[in-house]
Amino acid sequence: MTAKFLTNYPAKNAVRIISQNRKFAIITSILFLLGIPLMLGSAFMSVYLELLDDKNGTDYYYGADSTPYIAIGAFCAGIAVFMGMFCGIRSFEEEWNKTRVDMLYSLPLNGTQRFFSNYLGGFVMYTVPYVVSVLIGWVIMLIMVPMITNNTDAAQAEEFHGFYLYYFLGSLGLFVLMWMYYTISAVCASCCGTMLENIYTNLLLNLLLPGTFAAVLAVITDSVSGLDFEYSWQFVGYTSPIGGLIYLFYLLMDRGIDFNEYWDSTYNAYGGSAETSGLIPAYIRWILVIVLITAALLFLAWKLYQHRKAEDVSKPFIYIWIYYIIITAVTVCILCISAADEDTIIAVILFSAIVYFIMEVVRKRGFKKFWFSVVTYIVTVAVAVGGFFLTVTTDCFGRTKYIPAAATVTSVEITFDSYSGRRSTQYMLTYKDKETISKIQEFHRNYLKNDEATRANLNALYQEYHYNLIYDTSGYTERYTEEDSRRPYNDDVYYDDSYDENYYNRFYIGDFTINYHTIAGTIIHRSYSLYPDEYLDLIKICLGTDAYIQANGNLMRNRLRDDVWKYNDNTHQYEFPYNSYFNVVYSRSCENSMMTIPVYDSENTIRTFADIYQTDIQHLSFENFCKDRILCYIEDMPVYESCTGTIAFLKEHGFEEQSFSQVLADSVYTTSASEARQMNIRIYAPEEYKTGSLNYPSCMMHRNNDIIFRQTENTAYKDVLFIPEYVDMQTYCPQLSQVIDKAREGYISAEPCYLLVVNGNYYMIPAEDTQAVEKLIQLGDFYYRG
Amino acid sequence: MMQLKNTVKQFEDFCALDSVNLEIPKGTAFGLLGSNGAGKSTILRLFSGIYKAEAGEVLIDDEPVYDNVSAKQKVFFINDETVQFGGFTLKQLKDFYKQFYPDFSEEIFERLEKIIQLPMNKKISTFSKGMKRQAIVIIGIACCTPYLLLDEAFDGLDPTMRIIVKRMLVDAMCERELTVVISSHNLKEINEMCDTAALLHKGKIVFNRELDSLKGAVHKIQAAFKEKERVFTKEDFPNLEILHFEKTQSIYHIIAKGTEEQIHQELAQYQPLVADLVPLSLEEIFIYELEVLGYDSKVFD
Repeated sequence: MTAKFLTNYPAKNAVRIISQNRKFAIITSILFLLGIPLMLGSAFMSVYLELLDDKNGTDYYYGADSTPYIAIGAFCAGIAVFMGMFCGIRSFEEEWNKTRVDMLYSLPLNGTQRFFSNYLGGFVMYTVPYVVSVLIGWVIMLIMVPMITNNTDAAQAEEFHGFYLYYFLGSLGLFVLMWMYYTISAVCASCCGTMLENIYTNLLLNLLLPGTFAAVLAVITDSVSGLDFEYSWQFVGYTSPIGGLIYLFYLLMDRGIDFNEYWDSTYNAYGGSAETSGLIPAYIRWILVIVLITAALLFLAWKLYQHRKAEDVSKPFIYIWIYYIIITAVTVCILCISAADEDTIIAVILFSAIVYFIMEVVRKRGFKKFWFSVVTYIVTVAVAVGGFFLTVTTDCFGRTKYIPAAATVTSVEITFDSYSGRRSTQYMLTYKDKETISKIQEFHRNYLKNDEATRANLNALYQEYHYNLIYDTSGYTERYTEEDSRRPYNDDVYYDDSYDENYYNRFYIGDFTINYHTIAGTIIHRSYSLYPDEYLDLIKICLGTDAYIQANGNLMRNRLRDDVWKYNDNTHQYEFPYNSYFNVVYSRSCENSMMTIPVYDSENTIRTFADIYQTDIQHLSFENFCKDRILCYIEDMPVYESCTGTIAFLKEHGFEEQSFSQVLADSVYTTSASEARQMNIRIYAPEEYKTGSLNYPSCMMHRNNDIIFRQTENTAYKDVLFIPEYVDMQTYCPQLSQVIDKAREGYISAEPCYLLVVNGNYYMIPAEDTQAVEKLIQLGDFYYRG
Repeated sequence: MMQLKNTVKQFEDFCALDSVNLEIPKGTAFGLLGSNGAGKSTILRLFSGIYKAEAGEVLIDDEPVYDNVSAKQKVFFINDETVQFGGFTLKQLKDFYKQFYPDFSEEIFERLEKIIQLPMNKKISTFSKGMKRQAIVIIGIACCTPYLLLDEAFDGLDPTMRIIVKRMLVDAMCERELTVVISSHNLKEINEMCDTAALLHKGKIVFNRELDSLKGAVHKIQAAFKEKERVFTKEDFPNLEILHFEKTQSIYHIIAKGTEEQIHQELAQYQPLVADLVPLSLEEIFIYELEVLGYDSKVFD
């Protein structure tokens, strides 16, 4: 009986809190009840009226614009959520209101009971109206969605039914964030002894935690190899309710709302498995972490509450460390501004000092021990700057170079840029088998070892070839002069010999990210730039793996579907036929030289073709990958000469193989630009790089049409001016035509090869065809002179 | 019994209680006297479990009070604030406390409420200071805790209501063995209400005695001696604890501790011509005791 009575005490105190703050609770309730139901009701009603308008040719929707109501609802819900801070402050009134201390502390409750009853009272006051409003939202949805779906087709109906899931995830996520927000206010109540400090500690903590984290992250990721802000910002979602809200919004909007489209775009962009980027796993991971953090905060608040004394009320800060967390976060946040522009360092330090001392004066309610504030400011700045340099110089304390033990890795997800095609094509591959995982880990280890050496070598390479970089050969002859024979271009126009770090961008071909999924459920993410050799090392691992083969099949399947089918924004469906054909492009550099393959039974044709292509990729060896002639491209997907099944299928559907000289000629014929009516062709002799950084000097992987290669006094090169409008290449110079036919796109070889540059596009002449080039060169000057 | 054993209470640099030992037996009406900041309210807050002692023990019926629900249930503390729970009506406030104190007596509450006639359904924030005080006192009595602590409890009450409230307290003490601890600067009230009192100064207990024996133990003496030329000093009466010693012409005014017999015996050695002994009021004892400790209104002179 007694035990039962005692256990009821906290509940009674909680009821007292609600009863005492009932006006406040009523306002919160009204705001919540007005907010969510109004938003949902207005949004669904407008959709419903719009559908009725479409169906009946009426204009109800235009006469009843729901936007203002949605805005009012959002405003009310926003204010109601914000009230959580005051719920916390009011329910822990004895912590800041001196007149209440005696009566509340003298009640027959121990510290734990008092804390949890206070906490519970405020929590109920804050969340019950929210839960009720969410339930009303469910009622509205359950009424409105069937009304809407009765007027839509099946695909739209499915999309509206999908909204149930997003509403559930969104409302649950917001509930957990509200819990976190409220718990932070409980921590603040335990740490502060006045209303003023309570409010501003709450506000600053909520704003500064995500703000400072993001600012520091931006600075660190900019300075440390292996980290990228694009991925790492997501951790802001764990730092605070505001960060969590942003992340929740990102999860639902970016990954969720247009669910089907997301999967499609995933396949389109990466060709990988959609499940690895799923909304649900990310959501569950996020919400579990938020719950754990909130539980930890609650534990902290409880312990702080127990430890503080009744007489502490009216002290600004009972636990001074919370103040120093805030003031340090403010200072660091301001100092981060200078990372964006080093010239602002003095102004930034001055600004941070002013803010720091204002906060000190507010805390101390005057200028007591001002010299101590000066010392703490200097220490804060020194620690912040020192911490930054320590983090950068130690590669985030070795974290960026950390590779988890193979036994702890459940799967590895890699994304990398494809070398082929002008359009950015990314592969996203997931591996769960131990063998591939360990190969990728080995690759990662080697990458980390090579990274600095490669950069140093490339730096040396850049210094050496700085004056000989070629960016574009088109139209050079007009500017070519005998005086400047070593330089093909006018200095002012084509290159800048001042030091510019961005030039190094020309030395890598693309981005690479790696995600280790561990047994513990964590994801270790790293982001790097891949150099040609490293790219090829990675390809060696991926070729022949199911993930890579599947990804190629998916890419082909979805890109063809995009080509043939059209996505209807109104019906939200792919419709057939958009085109009754797809395009086959002969050369990446001559995209206007193409032919079309008719598709009569789109679904079956595409599926069959993609399956055949996938099978061919399955048998693609590394040698094929590097040296095969690429006969054509289908939506940037290369068709290698070893892809016999694909080629046979294409031929069955009317594909005709063409010589490269013919492709080039066709390309020029069909180009309207006056400059392109002539063909600028240059041939460069093989040149071996002196550094050991690049194992594939004849590597035609490039990015944005930039390539490095060397041109020295000893370099043999020939210029050809070819006017195809009335001159046939085969007739004019059969040797040139033969050489062009030997040229390969995407050719990768360790052997020195001749380089052919046609209107700024680069092709390699395989080493075995060197003789053909030399014969051409021996002809001497072969400028066409009409 | 309420006990302080070598209790120390520190507020940052300020020592509010310095190794205080105090025992308040059950059924006592105990008065806490003392200068401002002497530590009276601190003792009450320690006994009601609000403050935690830095050292020593604070016990109620041999149980430590701080963070102890069962010990705190035995105590009801009425402090000198009058702004508690302004949002409640008297009925709601009564119902709230009733939940926490299992022995709460509706019958006592109704009886006392009838005497005082406070509005049950008006918010306490609309009450006057005296009404708020009456409200919390009747709730405190109705909670029927064995110990009732009152800090400046009679502040704001009109003279009639003071009498009524005192009657209530006395009745409660008679009905059940209620222990009342009153802290007040109003010595008259302590004098009327309490059987025992302790005087505090600067965190230490100056004395702790039954009031009757206290009053009998300190006397004001007016004396004149045969040797008129001789100037007597305190040192001439080594067996008396003299709190105050003053000479006006040939008359000596002495405040001294001790029984009448002890004093007469001490004075007799100098053959007094006159030796009148008058018992001191509590207020006089307070003033003279503290004067000895340097707490003196003469600082103005």
